[in-house]
Amino acid sequence: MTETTQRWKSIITAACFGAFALVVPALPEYAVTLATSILITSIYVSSANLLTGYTGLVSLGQAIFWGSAAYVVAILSVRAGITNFFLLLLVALCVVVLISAFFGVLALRVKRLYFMIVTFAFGHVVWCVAMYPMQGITRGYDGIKDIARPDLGLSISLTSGAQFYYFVLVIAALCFLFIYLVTRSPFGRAMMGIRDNEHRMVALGYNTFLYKYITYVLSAIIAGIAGMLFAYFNGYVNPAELHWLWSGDALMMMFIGGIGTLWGPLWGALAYTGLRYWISSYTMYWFGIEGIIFILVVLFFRGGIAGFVAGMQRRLSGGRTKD
Amino acid sequence: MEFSVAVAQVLNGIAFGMLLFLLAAGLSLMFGLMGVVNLAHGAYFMVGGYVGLTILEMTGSFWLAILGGAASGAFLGFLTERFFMRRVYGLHGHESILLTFALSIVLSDFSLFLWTGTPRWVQPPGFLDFSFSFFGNPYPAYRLAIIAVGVLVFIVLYLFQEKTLWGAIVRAGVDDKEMATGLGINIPLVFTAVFCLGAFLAGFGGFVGAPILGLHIGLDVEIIMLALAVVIVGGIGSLPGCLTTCLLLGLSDTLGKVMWPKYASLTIYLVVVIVLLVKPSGLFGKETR
Amino acid sequence: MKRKQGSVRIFALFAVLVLVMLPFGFVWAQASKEPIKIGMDIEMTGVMSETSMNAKMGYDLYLQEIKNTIAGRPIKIIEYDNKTDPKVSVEVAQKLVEKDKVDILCFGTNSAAAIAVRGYAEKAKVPMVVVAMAGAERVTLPPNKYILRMTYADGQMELSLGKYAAEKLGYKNMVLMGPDYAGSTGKLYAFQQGFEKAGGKIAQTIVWPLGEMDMAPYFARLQPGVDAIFPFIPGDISINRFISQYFELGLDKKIKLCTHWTFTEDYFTLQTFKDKMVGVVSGAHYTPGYDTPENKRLTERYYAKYGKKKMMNSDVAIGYESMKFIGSALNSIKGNVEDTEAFLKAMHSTKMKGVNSTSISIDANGNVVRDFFIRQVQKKDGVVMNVVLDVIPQVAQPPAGTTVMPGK
Repeated sequence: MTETTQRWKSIITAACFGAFALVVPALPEYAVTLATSILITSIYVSSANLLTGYTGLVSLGQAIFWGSAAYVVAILSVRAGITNFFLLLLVALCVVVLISAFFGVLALRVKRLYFMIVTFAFGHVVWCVAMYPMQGITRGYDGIKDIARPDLGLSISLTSGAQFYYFVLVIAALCFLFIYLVTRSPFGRAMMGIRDNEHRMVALGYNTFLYKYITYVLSAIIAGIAGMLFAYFNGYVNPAELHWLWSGDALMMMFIGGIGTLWGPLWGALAYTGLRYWISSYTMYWFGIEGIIFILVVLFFRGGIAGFVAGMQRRLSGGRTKD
Repeated sequence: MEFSVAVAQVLNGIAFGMLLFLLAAGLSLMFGLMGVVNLAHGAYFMVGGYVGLTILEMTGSFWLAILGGAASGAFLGFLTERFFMRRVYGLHGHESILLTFALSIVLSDFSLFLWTGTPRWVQPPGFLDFSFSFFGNPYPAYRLAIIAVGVLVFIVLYLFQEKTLWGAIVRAGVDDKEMATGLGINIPLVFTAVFCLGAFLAGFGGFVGAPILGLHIGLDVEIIMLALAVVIVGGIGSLPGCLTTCLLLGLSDTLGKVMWPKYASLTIYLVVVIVLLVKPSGLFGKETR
Repeated sequence: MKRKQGSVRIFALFAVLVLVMLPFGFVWAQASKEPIKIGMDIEMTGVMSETSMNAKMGYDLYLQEIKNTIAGRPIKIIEYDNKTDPKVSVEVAQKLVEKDKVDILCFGTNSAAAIAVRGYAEKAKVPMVVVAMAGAERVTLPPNKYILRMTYADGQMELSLGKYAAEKLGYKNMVLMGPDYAGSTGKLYAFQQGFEKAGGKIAQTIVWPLGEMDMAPYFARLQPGVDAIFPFIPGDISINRFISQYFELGLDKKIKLCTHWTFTEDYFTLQTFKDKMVGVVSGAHYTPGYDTPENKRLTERYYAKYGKKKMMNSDVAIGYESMKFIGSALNSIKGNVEDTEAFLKAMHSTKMKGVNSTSISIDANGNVVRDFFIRQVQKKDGVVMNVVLDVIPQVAQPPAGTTVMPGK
């Protein structure tokens, strides 16, 4: 497949998603809620995807940034009365950048498997901190509730389901666009080079550490944005948002959706949310089902849903193509 | 704190450390030999406990229950190794973590289905269900029994590892797989055997630990985290090192709860982070992998 | 299920059309057979599941009694498991309200989760009724017209029990013990208020993370020279652990227990520990041995439906009373639950006889007003059971701030 055909494919896919996305609020209320949840989760998963799919680093610590940003929104807007969205965004991103900058310097020094374990351990430390020592601020297990919808400081209200959905849609689109541009840029190609063969990149003169570091911080920022949106969406934040199991969920969604692809995170978020919110009405074992799907994907369908879809597209467009 | 109470807490910490050892020994061996981190290990522990409970309820025999629990662990270990782990040897280490993570989720929901979400308890067997006077205060005999069992298991494993041919084969495999294969050792068989042994110990630990820890869905996650911390901090390749780390962590966890509950869990994992960053091979570990 | 709902809807439409044509101007939903949907956000798994599942047995008993119909409309109960997890509780509430479109959102046991779900119910403007426990103060205070609690509020029992412990039992120094979450610390602090106001002194407060099963480290922190412990832990198994280790460590020889009713339940701890529990004083809203006609009747029906495996207990009583109260309110508005204002007003003005309590009603803040009892475990005719010593009639929720432990 040529470069242009590839580009047209991406644009058409984006247009299809976009068209569907715009129509969502016409559906019943619960569908809008689910769609919003899926979008927010997909941003979170794409942050993990940026890190893993494009640089090969597997982190069990993405929840740190999701949760920290969510708590910033919760604590400042509910307990301190600061509600301006842009101000909160600034603070949340600063917090997230600080944590990732600090931790990244340390964590990136260790190899793949140990990187995963150290991010898990650090994530657990952060969770513990939110649960107990910082309980006075975070309210610990009880959590913080009554988080209102974002206050943009403009005359637009975001309280209704549909209004908030569009807000999230815009932000999600921007995030996906950003990731798309980054991965298609020289920086992105360097990242993928590091994923495929770090030694060669080093031999070529690249400062691989710097590339990994910047990607780590970028993925933290995107996870943070998702976390902020979640706080607004859910209206309630508790330490579960920082728990390493949530980081694990991100990895599962990433694999199920299709690692290293642009739309994979969206598919993964769709599968997960569908299971958690919909299938859970019919069986309480939805998480076990997700586990089974994940195992099947890892063992047999390594491309995930996105890979499967791409395969279908290839078959439909007839003939062989190199992707 | 009174002296006798302090001593009681130390004993509790040691008993808990022994339970951790039952779990960490297998985990450490799997990591050392096969380079896999088996997050489902905690699930073997929990399922072993539940299966033992069911057998106890059906037959009234504590010994049969122990056997059953351990056997169920071994069985799950066998299934895991045969059908899942084989496919991910040699791939990136994180594949094994993710796969076993998913597996533990499936096992957890399966346990939920079979045993419901109500937490359960196991009474210690009649002959151990008493407290005897210890420095003026009663101390439950069962916990002392756990310590004894842990020591026994350690001795058996140590002798096995150092003094038997099988042990030598396993040690050879840990040190240098290629060489061992070159010498004609059937490595895949060794892998399966080690996996089953580790899981056997886990299932065993799950049931004998039940009178102390109880059985509830979520126990698998809680216990695997500590076991993982042991393997990381203690390093692999040294059985005494593993035991020592288990005792240290068991004591930290128990004494931490008594003295600084807000910071106990946090401290343990901070130590894990620091060890990983400073000396990834662990305190007693041999080689970096 | 979907098909049935579809045909019911069509019938309803037809019926409404017919009615509208009549020159009466009534728009009662009674004419349609559209079910009244009651959503249950309850703990089916996790540490607090026993309480909620017991309450479920209670409300199922009531539904069976009324043949699942109120004012001619069928009742549809939609239950989801919130796993004793506040985050899942909020998701379940969202699902019940937005997907299943329930008319009433009922909640189970977990206080922390109830507080979180309350935030959602207020936003969604759906009546929320607590039916199993969830006693923390912040569940109903500050008051919101949509939030109602049928069970009890922290302090309704503890203030009187604390006073009783100081005045009648003669305890001078006590220790509070419990997990570190609102549902527990609220009760502990309320007891403290009652106890200290009557001259007692709380020497120590020992708290630990929710879900911990091993109590030994926490008992280890007990200082000497203390008369009794007032503990609160959610979940029967955890309570069992606590009492088990209390005896195991020989503490019964040194410190007494003065407890919440969950620690002296006839069906559970008294069955397990029998004679060892004799003498323990506790506060409760229900005692199986307390002889009232309602209790007798309900107990008979309970055993008829569920058999003798599990003894009749206070959670079952509360589940039954909660649903009966809702049923009563619904009946008074002829089942027109769609008129939320009318339903809420009916809930506030309903009064009914409780299983033990002379009367159950709702105060201005949406919390229940009922009788409470001080009782003691005694051995009567060879049976270890609770015997009521004192009645505290018609207690309301204590004012705001009474049960929020400083720093929480």
